[in-house]
Amino acid sequence: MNLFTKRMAGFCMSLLLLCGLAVDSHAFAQGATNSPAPVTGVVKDAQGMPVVGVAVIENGTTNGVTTDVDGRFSISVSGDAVLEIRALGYKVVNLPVKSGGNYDVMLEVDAKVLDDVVVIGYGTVRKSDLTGSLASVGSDAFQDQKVTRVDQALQGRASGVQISNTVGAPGGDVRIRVRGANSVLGDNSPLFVVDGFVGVDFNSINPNDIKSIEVLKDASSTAIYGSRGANGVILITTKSGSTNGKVNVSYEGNVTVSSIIKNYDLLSAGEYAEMYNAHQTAFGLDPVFSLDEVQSYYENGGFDYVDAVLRTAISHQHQLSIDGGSEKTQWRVSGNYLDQQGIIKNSDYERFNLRARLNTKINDRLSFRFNVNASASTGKNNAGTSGANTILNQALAWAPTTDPYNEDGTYVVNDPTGSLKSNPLALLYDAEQISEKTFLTALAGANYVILPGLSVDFQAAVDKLFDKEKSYTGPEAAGSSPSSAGVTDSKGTTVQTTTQLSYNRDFGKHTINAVAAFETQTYHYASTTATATGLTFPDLKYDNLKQASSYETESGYSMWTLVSYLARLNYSYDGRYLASVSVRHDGSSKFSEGNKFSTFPAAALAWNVANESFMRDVPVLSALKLRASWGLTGSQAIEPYATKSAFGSASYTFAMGGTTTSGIALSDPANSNLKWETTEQWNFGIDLGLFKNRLLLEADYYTKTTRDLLLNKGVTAYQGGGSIVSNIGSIRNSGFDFTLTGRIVETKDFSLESTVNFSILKNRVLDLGEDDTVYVATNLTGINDGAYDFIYRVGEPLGTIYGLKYLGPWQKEDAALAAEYGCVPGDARYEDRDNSKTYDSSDYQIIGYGMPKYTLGWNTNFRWKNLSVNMFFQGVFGADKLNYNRCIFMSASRDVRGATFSEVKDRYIPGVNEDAYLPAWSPTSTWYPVSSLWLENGSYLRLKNLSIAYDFSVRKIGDFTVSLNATNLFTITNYKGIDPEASNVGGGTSDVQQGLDYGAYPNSKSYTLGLSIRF
Amino acid sequence: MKKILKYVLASVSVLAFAGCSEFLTEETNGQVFDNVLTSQEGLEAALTGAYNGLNSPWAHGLCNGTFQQLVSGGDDIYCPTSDANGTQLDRCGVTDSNGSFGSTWNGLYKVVLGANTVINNYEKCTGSTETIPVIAGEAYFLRAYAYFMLVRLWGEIPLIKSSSYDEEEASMSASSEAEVYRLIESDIDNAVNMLGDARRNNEIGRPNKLVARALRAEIYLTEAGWPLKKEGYYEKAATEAKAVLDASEAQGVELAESCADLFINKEEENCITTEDLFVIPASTTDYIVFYGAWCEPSEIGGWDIIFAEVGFMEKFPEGPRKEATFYTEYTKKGENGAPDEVISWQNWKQKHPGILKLMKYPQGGKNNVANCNSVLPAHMLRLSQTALTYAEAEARTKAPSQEAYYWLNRIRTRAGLSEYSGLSQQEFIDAVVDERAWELAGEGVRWFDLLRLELVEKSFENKNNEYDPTMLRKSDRYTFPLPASETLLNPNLNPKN
Repeated sequence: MNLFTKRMAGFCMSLLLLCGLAVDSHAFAQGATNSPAPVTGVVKDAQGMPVVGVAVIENGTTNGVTTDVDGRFSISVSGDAVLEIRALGYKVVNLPVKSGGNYDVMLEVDAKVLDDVVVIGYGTVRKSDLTGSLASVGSDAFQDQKVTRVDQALQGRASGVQISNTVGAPGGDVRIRVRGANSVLGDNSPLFVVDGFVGVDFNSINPNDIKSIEVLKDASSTAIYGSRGANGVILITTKSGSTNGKVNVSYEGNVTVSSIIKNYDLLSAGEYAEMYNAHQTAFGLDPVFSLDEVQSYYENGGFDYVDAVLRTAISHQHQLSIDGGSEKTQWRVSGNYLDQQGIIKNSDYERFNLRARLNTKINDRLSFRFNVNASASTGKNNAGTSGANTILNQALAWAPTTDPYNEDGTYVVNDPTGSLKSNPLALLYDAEQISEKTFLTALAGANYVILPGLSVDFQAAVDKLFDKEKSYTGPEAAGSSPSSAGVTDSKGTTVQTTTQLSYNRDFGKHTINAVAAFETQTYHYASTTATATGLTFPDLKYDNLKQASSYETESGYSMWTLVSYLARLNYSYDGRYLASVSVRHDGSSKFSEGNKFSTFPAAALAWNVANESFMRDVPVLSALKLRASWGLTGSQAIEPYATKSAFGSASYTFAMGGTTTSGIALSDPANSNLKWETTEQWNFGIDLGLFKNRLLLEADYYTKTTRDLLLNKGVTAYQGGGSIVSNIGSIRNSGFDFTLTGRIVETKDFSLESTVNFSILKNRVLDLGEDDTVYVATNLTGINDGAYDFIYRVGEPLGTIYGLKYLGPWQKEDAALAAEYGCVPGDARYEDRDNSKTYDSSDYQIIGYGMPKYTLGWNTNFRWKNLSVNMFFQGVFGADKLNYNRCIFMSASRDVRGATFSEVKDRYIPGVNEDAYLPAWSPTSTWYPVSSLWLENGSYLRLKNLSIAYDFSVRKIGDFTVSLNATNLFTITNYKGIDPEASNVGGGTSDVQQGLDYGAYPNSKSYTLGLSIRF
Repeated sequence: MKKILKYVLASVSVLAFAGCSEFLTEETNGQVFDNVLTSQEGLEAALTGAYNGLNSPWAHGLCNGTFQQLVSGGDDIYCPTSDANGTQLDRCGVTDSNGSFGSTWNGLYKVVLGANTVINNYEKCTGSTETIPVIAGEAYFLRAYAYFMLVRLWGEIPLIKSSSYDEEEASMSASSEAEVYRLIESDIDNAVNMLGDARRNNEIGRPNKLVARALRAEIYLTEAGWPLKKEGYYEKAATEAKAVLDASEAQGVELAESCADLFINKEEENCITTEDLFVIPASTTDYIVFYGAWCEPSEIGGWDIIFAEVGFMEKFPEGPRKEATFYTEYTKKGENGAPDEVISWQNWKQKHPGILKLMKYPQGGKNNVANCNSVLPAHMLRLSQTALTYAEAEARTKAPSQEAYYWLNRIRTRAGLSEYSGLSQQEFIDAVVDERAWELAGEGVRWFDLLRLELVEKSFENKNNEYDPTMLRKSDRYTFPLPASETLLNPNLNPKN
């Protein structure tokens, strides 16, 4: 982004200079006819790239020229002279020359003029005039990583932004949080705004079309988005065409090979049989496998289910973009094709993207713009499924001693020894989840300059999402249930209009930047669902639902509208004192009369200390800015109709073989007094540049307090269960965001730049109304039915894990005490808090915290001539995870009757291994799933990306870049599971539940070979 | 250009200030609100919603295997130690966080709330003056049924009569068993008064007056025993049961010919018998779950959750009824031409026989189980139970009459057993109690009999298991502690708070 903007700015500057100098240079040229040979040279930047349009002026005269596209200049001077070489954004160079000499000039970036323009809501601002806190990520920061989705471009590259790929499947779920989680009920994902359209699904965006991403973090930046700003705002600006009259064509393609990030440590078939017998014996039952069978499994092995469901996945991506234009009209069209395979067989993701953008200026006053984005994606078996009956869980659950195939080649439906659920191969080949999404976004806008500095802008946009979700579970995959299939078709339409007045003007040392706007959004959604059970011809899948023993249909509708008035005034005095005030007034249809509207004000102050005259003499310090801001933002964390009690559907069959009668039953009770959830945020920041900005530090401290917190208060089952939403409670997020950038080496052939960002986040529930604690059950495993595994409690963060505290196996010396619990030495011992000699709900306590406390990103770019290397580490620290996998695959009970994990060999075995962490298998030893027995530290540091790229030119064809990169090459962690980043909960929306692993789709390790050609 | 500007500004202000209130109106297309309850159709829909609480497959109700687990404290049902929830229930040491509570507790309260919706609205409802009271009668029946089940399982429970969420009830305390039974009695009286002689729409899933009276007999019988031990209630139970027995034949309800007919459990037949009084019917959408894998041994693809107690089976008198009650062996298909092999329960993994009544008609060898969703009905109350209720209740008030002998002996002869005569009053009572255990084995009756007759501890002898039955017991009552999921939300439910 920096480079791009700078070049653009330089180019514009040169145009201006050229206009001004045109007449003069002509005159000089004449006057110089008899002079000696001209001075020539090349002007390049620190990276060795030629700089075009640089003004080269003989000191003390009006004699001047500008550099051409190759950075070359030629100027005639008389004898010795000093040339003043100036370009916007660079330091002025005074070069003593002799006539006829040839000079290479390297321009240094001028740290004091950080004139990058950054996008803020409803406008742009010079970076030096920024008062708020935002993180800016330009496309050059991630172009080497060959990202396929926006979150990958952002992960680890912006401080205060936490991104977890909780589902490793292609196109899978991701969790994006800006400065923590403010809401219990609502989606805490940030608001995506693409080219001014508010509320875009980031899945529809092709990252190769992105010019820059700005993450608005503090309230003075986000309050302009009012009721939707509380979770931070991510502004995406797409690339537009060039202004230099040239047509640019570029192609990018890459191919990726992925495999599982780490292998499971599983028992061999022989070990499995032996362990199975050991479990039987421990429970006073006869062994299932004879000694001969055990021996035979040791010798001949069994069936490796995990290996049978995993694969080395191959993915590829192709992108073609064409852009061009002039000063008046710019255009760009790009097409992208992505085909990704998941590492679990039969899971993949395919996406087509087309984006077109046209800007045109009719005259000095009137301009128009038009953007279209179309995206069609098909995801197959890539959703974040949870529960027992998933491919990976069953691959881990099925006994390696069980042959998956019958003699006739069909799948074995029931595993006689291990799992009670479906054959993983049947789940793989006889079941499907297909998600077909088509996004269409069209945006048109017009801008009219009324007076110099004053313009009116109108923009209208429509966004449509056509979503078709198809599912099929064949007879073999269904196992003990009948086959089924279903289709859901839905259409969501959002229409937005924005009318905006902007005023930008300099009056001497005063700069004013003001905007006022009126915006409306409407959303309509309609869906139909049809499902069939007992398919007559399973091969027809979801395409002929009538051929089934029974079917059901449903349809639904919902809508909301939002109307907003907003205004902002930015004022700057002499580039030293900056102030900003803004207000937004939002009204939403989701609330009852009287609660519909709310106002979200914000204010910010900043002091550019470095621009003070007294600071000019401090050579080390090249930039210093102090910032402070305050503001209110909101969240409409409720669904439409939450203020109205409605009935749901419930059916019953009154006669044998009869049809089902539909009826109504109470659903969640409503609360007609609901109002906006409001987040108040304070931010204090400092920007520091040292050594000519070779070292840049941005640090922010913030507190975000959400009040009128919308809470889903659990309703007792005797009152109908479910939950009721109320504005009770309060949550605070506070923390530090740091970004440290070091341009360590910066020469023509060699550069090294490293950026570290680090965030500390503290999340606390401050108030829950009358309650102290709210209990949440995920029911993820299916074996802790009803038991709570998460709570939120005053004084504790969201994602607090609640269970029994494991104290290790009962020891021999405590046998007498153990007996009071009906236990024997070796049995699992838990803390009995009320000394009731039984483990019940009063013994449950906080055992861990699922929400990470620290996140780290470390991005290093190294360049030597045409070779560049990017190394990017990402880390998450201070998070606990409940590793249910270990519980399920070692307990040998309920759904999974045999242990499959090697770790089980280390359990307590009376007389053999009495110094164990794992308890013994015994009829009186309960391996509670929700206990600290399975709690682990989920911290990790991961080499997210390592890439090498080489640039070269082929004459008359174009510029080439060949790159090779590796993703998730290694991970440093103590977590015993496969992937500390993957989780079954806490994906897209929920923050109450975080950090559970029960066969979560792991992220993969991948290698990508890329080629890019620019013609 | 100024004209354009004026036009833009004018349209902005019109949009901004005029259309606002309408623009922000919520369109509620497709939503059902409580105004529908003033119509008969709405009331009918709410009643169907109440029935749904009895069975929503896998979600809630009495048709999941967890219900059989809840009554496994009886000496007829055994739950293996491989499942902690089942172990607690089987050994009568139940903690408040037992994972098998949810389906039954939630389902029964959904019945209560649905019934409340009908009961609180039927008087204001317009429609057929003949049908509306019957709809209300069914709702009263359902509420009585649900509370009767709840109070026997959990003892003191929250008593809810409102039909919409009431914030005050979120912190209510539990009602005493006496209070709960007071409402149950009043509800079942209303049901008896309002229901007709025929089942509405001729649908087997709906109660009529006869069914309501049979339930009333069970309620009286239970109130006569622990914990209320109400005076005169054996007499009331006997009278009520006798009334049902007397009226039954005229309504086509009579004891089935043979024991084998009662639980055929073949999915191709409708499996309703002449003696069924209250059933939960099944269809391919509202299927009954427990007949599948829940109650089958793993040897035939089941889940090893519900078995019969060995000691109970050993004492069970031989005959056709025993054959129809237990599942003791299966045929393992010979592989590669080897002969088929019969494997009996002693050699199964869990070393306990299955309860054939709760299983689908066994399909044969390994891996041959079609699925765990069945279209078999759940038999919740049948005339045999009423007959034995009559025999027991009457014998507890006076010397057994000829008629009491008649009904006891009809059950016995059908089971292939000899007729009783000349028993002392106590001998007769004991004989009926045993007969109830055998005749209604696995049907969720024995556990409640043990509770009302305070025989839980005595019954441990029959269980023939190697554990101390009192080891896990933490309270002087055998009714369960209220679910932790409820008491955490409302601590006032616990008496100690």
